[in-house]
Amino acid sequence: MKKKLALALALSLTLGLVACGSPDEPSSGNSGDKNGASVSGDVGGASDSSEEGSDAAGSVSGSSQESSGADNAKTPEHWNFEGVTLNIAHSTTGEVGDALQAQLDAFCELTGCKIEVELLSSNSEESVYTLEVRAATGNLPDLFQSSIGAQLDKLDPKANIYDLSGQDWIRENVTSSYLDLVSDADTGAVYCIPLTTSNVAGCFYNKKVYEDLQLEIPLTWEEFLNNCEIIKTQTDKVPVVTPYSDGAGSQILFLSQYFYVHQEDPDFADKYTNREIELHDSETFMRGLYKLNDLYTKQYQSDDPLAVSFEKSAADLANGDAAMTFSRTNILSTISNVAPDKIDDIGFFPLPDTSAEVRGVATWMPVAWCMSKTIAPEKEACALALMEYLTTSEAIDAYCEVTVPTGAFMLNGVSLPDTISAAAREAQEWVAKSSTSVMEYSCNIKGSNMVTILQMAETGEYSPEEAISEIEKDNAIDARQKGVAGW
Amino acid sequence: MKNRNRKTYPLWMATPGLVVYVVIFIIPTFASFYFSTTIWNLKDTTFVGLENFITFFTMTNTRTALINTAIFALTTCLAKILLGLLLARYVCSGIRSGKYLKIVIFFPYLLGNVVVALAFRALLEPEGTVNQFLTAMGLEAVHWLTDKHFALLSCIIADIWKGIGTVTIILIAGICAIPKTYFEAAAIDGADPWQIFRKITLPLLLPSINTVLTLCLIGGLRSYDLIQALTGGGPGYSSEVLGTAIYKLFARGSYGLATAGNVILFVAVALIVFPLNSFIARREAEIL
Repeated sequence: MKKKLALALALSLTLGLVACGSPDEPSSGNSGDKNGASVSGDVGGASDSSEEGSDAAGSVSGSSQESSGADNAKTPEHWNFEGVTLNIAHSTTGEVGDALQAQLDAFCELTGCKIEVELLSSNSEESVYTLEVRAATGNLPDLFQSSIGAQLDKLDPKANIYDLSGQDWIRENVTSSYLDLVSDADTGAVYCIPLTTSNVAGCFYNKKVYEDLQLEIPLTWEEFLNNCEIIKTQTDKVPVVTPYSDGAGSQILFLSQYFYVHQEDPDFADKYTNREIELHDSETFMRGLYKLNDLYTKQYQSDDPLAVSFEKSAADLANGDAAMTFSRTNILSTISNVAPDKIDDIGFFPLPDTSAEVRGVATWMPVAWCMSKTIAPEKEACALALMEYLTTSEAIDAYCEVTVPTGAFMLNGVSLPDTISAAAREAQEWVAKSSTSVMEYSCNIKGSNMVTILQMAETGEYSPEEAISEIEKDNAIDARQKGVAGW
Repeated sequence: MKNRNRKTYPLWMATPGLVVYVVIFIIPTFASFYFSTTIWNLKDTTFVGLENFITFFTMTNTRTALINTAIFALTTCLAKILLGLLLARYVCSGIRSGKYLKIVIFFPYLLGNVVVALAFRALLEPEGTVNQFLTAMGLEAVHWLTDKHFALLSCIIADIWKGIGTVTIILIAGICAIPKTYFEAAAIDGADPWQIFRKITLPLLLPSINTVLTLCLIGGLRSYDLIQALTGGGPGYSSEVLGTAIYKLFARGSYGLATAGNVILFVAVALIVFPLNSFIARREAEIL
């Protein structure tokens, strides 16, 4: 009897330990929930505005997913990889995550291989950190999702990522503006293919609310504030729903301001990296913080902004409980999830600034698929085939069957379907007209407390001046830790 | 005879355990001392001396994190011991539901910290159960997790709920170990329950309390996952503790600086816990 009791006790203790040992997983899952919807754009890449613009413009003008080059978009029929199992890690959740899964499933069906998917944390910093550690210890999965631009360097692509430049399909299928960002300028090595669609930041508004109040699209920040005042005084709606509980949500407006900074000084990011200028010297840069401060002091934002999630902001905007929100086009896929019948009520305009003539948007390029350089020889052909497949219109068809894309795929001969929402189309038109990619991808300096500092500025804890001084201090520590020259 | 007994188990038999201990604990500890003096990107290190420590202490959130860590560790520790004592005393008082209560009290310990945090988030969110209850009572709803005055308190409450089970179980074991004859003798002498508790239970329970105090204090100083999942150290820095501050540095890739933070935490825990431990041990010896 005693023995049985002791056994039972030992078992319960073991179970207890298992229960206690598990926090890691829910932890990442939790942060995934918090930032889930922001994943596809939270990590992204720098881009050259003119090139990106023309690509996206090309995408919009097309009517459906047609392939221009008939050879590149077809998948070879000789693919047969039965018995091969690929390990894939990505951090994309929600509808876009389902769309990726549909692509992978279609590939498995086509070739007979097996794919094991590991879901990394949807928090971009956590997933980059996880991959960085795995790269340093030689444990990268066969295929994985990665950020591009300056952030790609963290993974030391030369040592860890498979060079795709020798593949005949790569230049045919992937747009050159995207390849420029994921190539080594010296060696010509190509490291990535696009994983999702590009993301455009700006103001999403509820057209019905605007119609009811007979509001005009604001061309300047002043007009924007006037609209907010009318909404605030004449309705019980929140003028601007602010999902500041979300790490990405608290940064969008601030980061989008970089379009105007870049307009004023195209070398701003380089100069800052080389420590030739300070952030607080640029009035245009500071206006990002003043805009956040306006929303707070004039009480145009949500009551308890730190409790508002990304999903709630999408739902409130769609249902007309809020009139506007600053977000990226990936909010449209969340809206089509939470309020599918309201997607056509949503419109888009760029973050306004001082001049009605100069307006534009900040963009995020699609995150990327990368292949491990240390992949086992027997898996190599299969992984390469999968990479090729993912750049074909067949794969995009599989994607579009699950979700309506909200940005450009950055693939040749693949354009957005007619079904994309009006707001996504408007956003893409702005990309073509005037756009630039956000600063963090052409300048790798970003302190660990950026989100917290912005949240404090957004809730009145810091004035814009205090906030910028904290950001500069925090960035200086980061630059020093990264070994950036001159810091 | 004594000597031969000692030689029965030669020293080399300790080797396997020692090797594991050295590889898993000693080497990483000393390695972290080294890495904390470098700028480290997981591949290369650049020696920078004490710069990381200076940087860590000049960071805006470090001061708040240190104060919050102290508040968190002390309040959770004291509350757990006081409530644990009351519960242990109650459960051991011969009530019929004693066994059942023991299980109920111990249950939260079986849950992971993050599970507890998620449950508390559901309870404490703006329209959560707690606020619904408050408004039903005619009181004002509170932003438990997003108001800087309440965020740390919410974390403390969640941690107490989570940790009280272990404390109570250890104290129950301590109380059960006290020979019944003492209580009987005191009762015959006419001591009231308070006197019995103060003069017999408490002094004889000191070894258990010592254990619990040390465990709770170390746990409180090192706490991270519960707070990270509940508030992430926010809003602002209002519930930032050393653990969350260090995590943010790791997440941004400042590995050397983050390791320096860990070394500071290690030293702080050692500086607080060892003197406290020996102090209590001395007191124990005096009382007994």
